[in-house]
Amino acid sequence: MSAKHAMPEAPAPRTPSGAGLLTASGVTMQFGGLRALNDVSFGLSEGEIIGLIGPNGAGKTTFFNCLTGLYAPTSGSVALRGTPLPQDPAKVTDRGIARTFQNIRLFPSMTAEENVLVGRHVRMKQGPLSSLLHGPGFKRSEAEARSRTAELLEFVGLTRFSGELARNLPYGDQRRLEIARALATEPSVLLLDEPTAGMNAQETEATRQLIFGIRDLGTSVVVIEHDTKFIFTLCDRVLVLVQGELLVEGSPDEVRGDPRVVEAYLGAPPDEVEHQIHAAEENP
Amino acid sequence: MLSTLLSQIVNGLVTGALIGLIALGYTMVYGIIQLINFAHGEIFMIGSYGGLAMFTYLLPTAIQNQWYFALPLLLIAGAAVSVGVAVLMERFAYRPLRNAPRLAPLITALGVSVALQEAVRVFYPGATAALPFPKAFVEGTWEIPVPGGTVPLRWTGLLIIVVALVLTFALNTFVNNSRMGRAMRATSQDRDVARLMGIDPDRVIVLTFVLGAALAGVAGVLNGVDLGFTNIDLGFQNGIFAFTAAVLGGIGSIKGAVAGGFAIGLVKALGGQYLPGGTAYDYVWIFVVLIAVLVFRPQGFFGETERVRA
Repeated sequence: MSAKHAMPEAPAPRTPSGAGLLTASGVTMQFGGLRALNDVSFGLSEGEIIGLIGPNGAGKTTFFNCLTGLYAPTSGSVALRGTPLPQDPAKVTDRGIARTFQNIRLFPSMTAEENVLVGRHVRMKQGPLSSLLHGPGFKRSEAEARSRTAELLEFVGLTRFSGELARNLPYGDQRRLEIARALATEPSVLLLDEPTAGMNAQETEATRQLIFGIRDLGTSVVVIEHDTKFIFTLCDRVLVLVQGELLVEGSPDEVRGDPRVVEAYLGAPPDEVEHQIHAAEENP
Repeated sequence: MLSTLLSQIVNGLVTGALIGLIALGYTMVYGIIQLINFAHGEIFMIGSYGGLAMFTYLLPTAIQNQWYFALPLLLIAGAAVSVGVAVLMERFAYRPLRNAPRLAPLITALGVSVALQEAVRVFYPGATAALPFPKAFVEGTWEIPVPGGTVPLRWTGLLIIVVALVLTFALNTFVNNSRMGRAMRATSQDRDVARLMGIDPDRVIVLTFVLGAALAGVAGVLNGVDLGFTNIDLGFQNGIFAFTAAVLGGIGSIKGAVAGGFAIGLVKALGGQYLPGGTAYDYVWIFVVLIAVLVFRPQGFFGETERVRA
């Protein structure tokens, strides 16, 4: 855990604004000879939606893995409300960070309801004896978890699939179920890894509304997404990660117009960008 | 003869219930860490010695013949000893190999099996030969009248069937409808994501060994009072049957383990009665059935086809 060294030639990231909720300082992740993340810092404030974009292999998912304790950063640190996070995904979840996955990772042979109930794990208390004998404490805890689960399934619009095995749900609904499961842990920060991948325009719009809804309920959100249109209309701030480094950070308008972003992200002049985005949408 | 047929079915159900109780331990551990815990038969055997030790050294003579005091205490002692040994086994033999190639824990399991058997032989007084197990206090047979004769059902046999069904039901309820039960299933389906849901896989794995061992310990004591003796090689024999039952029923499946147990019990009893060669060949019929199932339905009765994992 070395202190953060700002490299002089790197574009100076703004002071992590807010710095209130979740802060990463100088996170570097080295895999053998490959530096997947180099000195990445950012801050997330309460009620904020941040977008994380960048070309494939830029280190976006690696950054999420560092934030959730799946990877121990080679150097740098991550803190929630000023307290460093433990290097243990289970404890990080308990502290209030939840996530979804780029390639959906539900529990396939459990029902939609059970998947969300698993998300309640850290917020439930059941003694071993009470669980076996179904004592009053156990019954109360189960009933509370089930009613909370029903609320969450309704919130993401999956009530009708409650008893269905997760693997039988339509693709877009599986993504929504992952969000409900993550919300069940009562996170203060929700990390979404490509929440609209493979969705049509209608589903994407529904997801945007869902994310606004989550923010309005008091959870701050960080979104990784390739769909730049989606990011620019959703987020308060956008971070551009290129080859493991934070290239640009700013409001959607600032980032959209930044020539460095256009060059690094698409390797093409601005007027071709829109064209390429459209092409990508038509042939996913 | 109807009474012969029914008698063999009753025998098969008793054997099957006992094998099913042991098979649950194989199937649960496999479901969580994909390990065939070959030492599980020894956990069953050690449970019977735990119960015997309770009776021989701890139980006041005054209540030795009052089964309603003695039997629960024996069962608790058997389960406790099995659980203790299983927890140590998991901690010191299997956990260090959690991320090793799958062959390493498998060979370790065989080693643990031999070590446990020899440990009992060396350290339990008199265990070099079969030891008499107290049974007088639950001895007796219910002669069920049927046309043309009676079907005998030992009290201990009835006890085994009832206990096996009750415990299986309780286990199934626990696994499907409790916080830790769901954590077990989640861990077996995707351990990394389970951790991200705040589940500690180590605790879940220990719990799995504890539950399997408790059932095996109870089975060990019940088998002792049913047979009237216990011996250090009982674990190996019944372990093989139970492992086969777990595979037959679909390894990883709770109802599969019990169904597989009953299937094996019935094949053993009916094959021994009606097929050529008599009881000398009952092992043969069991493994013929196993091979047939593996050929035509490799995932077993209730098993899921192999999942593709990320």
